[in-house]
Amino acid sequence: MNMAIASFLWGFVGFTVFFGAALIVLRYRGEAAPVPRLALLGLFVHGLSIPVASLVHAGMNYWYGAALYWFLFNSFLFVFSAVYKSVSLRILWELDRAGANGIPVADITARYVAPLFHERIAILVQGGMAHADHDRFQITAKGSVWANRFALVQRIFGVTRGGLYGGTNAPSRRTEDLAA
Amino acid sequence: MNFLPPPILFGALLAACLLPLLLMALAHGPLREPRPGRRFMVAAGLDFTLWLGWLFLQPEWERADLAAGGLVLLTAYLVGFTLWTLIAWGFTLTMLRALASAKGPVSMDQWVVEYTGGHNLHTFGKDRLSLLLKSRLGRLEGERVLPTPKGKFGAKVGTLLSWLLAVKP
Repeated sequence: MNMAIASFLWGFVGFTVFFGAALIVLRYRGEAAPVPRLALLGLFVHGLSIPVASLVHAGMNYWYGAALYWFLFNSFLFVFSAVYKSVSLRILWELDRAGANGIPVADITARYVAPLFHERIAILVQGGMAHADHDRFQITAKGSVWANRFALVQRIFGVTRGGLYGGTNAPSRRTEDLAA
Repeated sequence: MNFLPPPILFGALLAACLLPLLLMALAHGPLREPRPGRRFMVAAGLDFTLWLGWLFLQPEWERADLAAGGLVLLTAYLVGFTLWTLIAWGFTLTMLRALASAKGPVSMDQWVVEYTGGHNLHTFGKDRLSLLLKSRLGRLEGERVLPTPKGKFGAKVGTLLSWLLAVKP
């Protein structure tokens, strides 16, 4: 067999093993978030497939299979991220259930948008980035450090203002969903 | 196993590393592209063109090299785009920046105003909806949103994917 094709084949086999294992791993709730768990699993399967592949095809080039494996892995992660916690998808499900009557825009804000803010505020408070006191919030020293780091990265990449209403930085809604 | 990449793949790996530098180059000076989404597209296009230039400098290549090189670049664009969305539009990080720029303690409503640049939750809700409306998955009828046939189909595909990936609906 052509060694390049053998390498591609090993990359595909590796991804198939990862895919099957990922479907099992995702069904068990762990303490770690799913994306880091999937990343670790991806590295583990890839690391395992290299010695196995070299036993079968000793002269094979690593890169063909690796290119296919990591492309498929990242495509999988991309689709997972688009479905995981997607606000737009949740609104779409609600619309589908509501049928011909639809839903008032105000209800969508109350049911999906406000909880989204509450959820992110909770993350920032739990992470020690923000301090909550009687429904008022203030940045902490740790939060300031991270905000400054993020601002620096944004400056390096010429992003003047992130988020939704940044004028010329206004996002495509698809990408905002991925970032959320 | 041979870990040395063929020249065309090596070029693709170099081009993948070049992507953040191109994004930086397009952020400042005369080449500046102000819109982040478009900037990413331009950077990826330039990056791909440079790789094509590298291809033509090579005396010979195999189809497998081209395929693997293309896969390396597609992976780089996928990963790069995901990171780019966080830098340009990351929700939690932008909220943190908004809080940092607020003068003193703020209520949630004030935080939202700071985050949205003077708007409120209702406007933000409409903004969120615009994705569905622009992609014709839903349509507005007065102040109500209704699903389109495409939206109903999208909801079913989403249900299937969420079941497969064990994501709670």
